[in-house]
Amino acid sequence: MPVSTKVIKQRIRSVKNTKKITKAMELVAASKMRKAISSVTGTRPFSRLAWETVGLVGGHVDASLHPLLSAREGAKRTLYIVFTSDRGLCGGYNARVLKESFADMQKREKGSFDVVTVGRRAEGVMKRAGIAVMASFVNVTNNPAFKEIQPVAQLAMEEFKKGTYARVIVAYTDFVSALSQKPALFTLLPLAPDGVEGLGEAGSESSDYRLPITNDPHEYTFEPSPARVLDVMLPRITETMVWQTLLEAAASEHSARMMAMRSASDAASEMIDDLTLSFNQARQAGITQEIAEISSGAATLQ
Amino acid sequence: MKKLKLKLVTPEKIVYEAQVDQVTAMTEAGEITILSGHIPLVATLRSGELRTKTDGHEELLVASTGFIEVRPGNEVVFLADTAERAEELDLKSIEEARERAARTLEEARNKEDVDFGALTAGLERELARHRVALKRKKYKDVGKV
Repeated sequence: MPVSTKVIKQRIRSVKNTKKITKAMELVAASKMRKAISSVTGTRPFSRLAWETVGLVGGHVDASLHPLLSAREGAKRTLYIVFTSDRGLCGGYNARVLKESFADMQKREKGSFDVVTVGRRAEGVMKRAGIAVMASFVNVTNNPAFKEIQPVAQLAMEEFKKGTYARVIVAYTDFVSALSQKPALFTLLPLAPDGVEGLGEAGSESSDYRLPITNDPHEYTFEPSPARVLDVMLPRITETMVWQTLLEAAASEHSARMMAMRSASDAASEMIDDLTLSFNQARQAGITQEIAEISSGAATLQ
Repeated sequence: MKKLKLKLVTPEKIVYEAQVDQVTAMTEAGEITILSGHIPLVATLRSGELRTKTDGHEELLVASTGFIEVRPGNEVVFLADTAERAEELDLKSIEEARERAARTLEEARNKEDVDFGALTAGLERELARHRVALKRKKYKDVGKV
């Protein structure tokens, strides 16, 4: 008898319990995902239009008109805002976006950048990597609320205006579909036309997100005045972009988690099938052996 | 006459998207009407009503603070914090909301360190919604819209 049926039975039970848990987590993630997807697709038109506006208007005004349009002179440092989840068990979601950001950070001189993390995972990883975390925001990705992400945008804008940073780069995961999410980086500040890598987001029409900087001859009129309009508009658009990023990240997170939990449940089902087969084989072997023993016992008696 | 491509979007959704002849909105500098062929413009929006006219047919909407952008090529984009079509407005709930906004502002007067700007903006938004809802009701009663 290879493995006792008792041992196999125990394993089947434990795998079944694990499957129950992963199944429940899958369902929770699925319902959160549905909510997150509907809000991310809802805000996309707004942020896309807002971003286009920055592109169109940015090409027509003097960058010195507003501090968010160009970096202060002498500013050299880079600020990274990294969006991850608070919790694990979501497949390669966090690893991928962190890999992407580390790859970009390596291009810069050591110590020439700071990091703001959103989500516990990034905080832990940065600490282990020996990178100073300037600020860490937790508990925002699970149930995104505008109020909770506003401080992130405020912080970025303030530090940028002060001249601490020459640029602010956001690392997040772009939500393409429930099955596919793409880690991405984009330059949030300055909102200047030159050197902007574009927001490679919104999945299908990623090219739309490149800033449509044009040299078209149209002259823009600002009412009441360019300074006033930019003053109201640019901080709002920056906030909108950070908000959109959070929503993209949240939708990606819940989708990644749902997929991870689904494959875990599938793997558990497969394992249960395999174990059940071995269990039946072991049981059959046991019976056969017992019969052989009985019949050989009877044979000796005769 | 060429039509304007009008888009009214809020962070939640696209509220209105249509080809119209003209659109009238409240900006900080006053009420403006945009017709086809308008030069590119960016202006800040104030809480207030927003009227569109298409082939003699008028439509009433309400938008709160945001921006309006007239792009080259007869494209008009409204980026508002909130916006609704007049027919979606519910007069009773608006009245309640308005009272609530006024009350919060009143209470806030006695305290320090509150965001007055946000509260006033909230009240203004409710007032604008109220005005538009009333106007719509009036139109409906005489059977104009």
